[in-house]
Amino acid sequence: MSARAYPVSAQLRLMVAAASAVGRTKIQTSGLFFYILVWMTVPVFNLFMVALIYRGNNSLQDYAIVGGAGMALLFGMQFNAGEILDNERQRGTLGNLFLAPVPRYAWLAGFQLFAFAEAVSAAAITVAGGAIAFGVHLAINPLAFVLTLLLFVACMWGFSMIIGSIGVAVRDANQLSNLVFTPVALLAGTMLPVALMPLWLRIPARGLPFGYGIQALVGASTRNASVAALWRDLLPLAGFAVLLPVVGIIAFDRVERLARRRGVLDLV
Amino acid sequence: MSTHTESLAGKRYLDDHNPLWSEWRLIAATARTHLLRTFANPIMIMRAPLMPVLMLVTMRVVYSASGQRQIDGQDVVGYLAVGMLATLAWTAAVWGGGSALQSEIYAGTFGAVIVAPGRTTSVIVGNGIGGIIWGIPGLVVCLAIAVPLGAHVDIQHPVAAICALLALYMSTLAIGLGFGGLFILSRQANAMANFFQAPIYLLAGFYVPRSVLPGWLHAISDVIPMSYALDALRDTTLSGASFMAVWRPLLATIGTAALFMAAGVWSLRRMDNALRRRGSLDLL
Repeated sequence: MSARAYPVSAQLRLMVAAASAVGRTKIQTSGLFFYILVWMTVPVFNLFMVALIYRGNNSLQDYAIVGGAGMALLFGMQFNAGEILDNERQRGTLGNLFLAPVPRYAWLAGFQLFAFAEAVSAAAITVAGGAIAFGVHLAINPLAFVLTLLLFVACMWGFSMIIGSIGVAVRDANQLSNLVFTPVALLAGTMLPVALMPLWLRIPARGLPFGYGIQALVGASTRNASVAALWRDLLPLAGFAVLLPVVGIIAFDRVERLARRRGVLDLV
Repeated sequence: MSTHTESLAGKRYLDDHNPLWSEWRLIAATARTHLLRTFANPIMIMRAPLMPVLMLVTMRVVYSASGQRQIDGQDVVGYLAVGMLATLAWTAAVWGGGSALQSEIYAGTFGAVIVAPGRTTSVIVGNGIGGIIWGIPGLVVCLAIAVPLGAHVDIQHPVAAICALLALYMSTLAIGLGFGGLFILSRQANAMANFFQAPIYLLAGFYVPRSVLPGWLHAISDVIPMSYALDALRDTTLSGASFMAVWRPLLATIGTAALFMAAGVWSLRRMDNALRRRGSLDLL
């Protein structure tokens, strides 16, 4: 049955059902307490570490707190959205999902929706924790903040699709995420502004969207910077927000073709 | 699966006439199995040298941005390089020793490990040693780049430095033993391992001096054996401290490590009782 046979409302219901299913599976597998421990501690403790290093420098501490939220978003999208397909493969349900007579992007979007909700929650808790422990000087420009967040999330969605597709192909998304996360977190400027990095790090950092995103988030949330004032960061971020999802969809399509060529839906 | 069979074969080496030698052979066989299993994954081979270097560079540029040139009177790169050594040891404690029994459950060999005539503690220690060896390439690369980055090494009492290093690895194995049973009893071994990975970087002073921690965090930090071992290692390798200058942290390492070992023995006994009471080898 093709995607055209499904009205938008049905696809939305499917998406919400998929998000709810993946959320319940994750929480029930480990229990709520351990679930919170695992998904919240890395960004929160990392923020505490960086903020303690920047003690006495309010400007860098503010940056670290907003950057910590960026790291929480990256962490959630990378280790959740990026591993969804491989987790389904390990459970033996990836084949069933591909064969289900529903649009593929509906259930995939549902999985991503939960990953997004989880990542945003972790980011909010990180900022709250940082604000309580160190104080943060917020001056938010709502329009610039929302626009930056949307573009940033679009970039992360595309990026996690690419990593997720490679993760299924190499049959070990978790180790791939572990391998990729540290350099991405560094180059994304989650712990220090890209401008303060040495030149040899600044060049690759400018080739990724996240540094622009976090810099714009910091400007929009701590300096009341407008969209016009942030154009130097928002313009490349917008370019990545278009490019990465397209590449992500192509990567997902390639994985599907690989499965068809091998005649094995689970790629094992 | 063949590597796990090999692990079990290690238990068959048991020799009634020399139980210590038999346990050592079991530990060595388990460590070898751990390494074979880990290095069978190409991504893990890449991670071994790459991740420590990336973490070292990350923390170096963060300190550089903060404008600090020294941490607790020691140069930044040297301080971070020793912290990286502790990070690798901690990874071995959590994912080697701590997750040893969980790995056996995943591999379906947990039952065989329990009923085989070797000690379960030897299997945990073997995995911990395997984890420590896995970290060596990363450590070598880190030290190789730390010196050109400006690390200032000052070892005036090599014996004291070696004692501090041994204390660090001894505490790694003790924590691994403590976690090995506790993780299984929690029924959430993987979640526990993931949870414990990051906070210790802060609490044990891997990258930030413990002196800047708030009081309540410092209290938690005081029960972690690695905190003391790391203090002693930094003092002996970066400030030229003698054995007499670091005997207190070394003693504290032994004391707190003993607590973890006691927790390990207690939790493994509890696990054994739970297995017998349930009449099932599958705890999860």
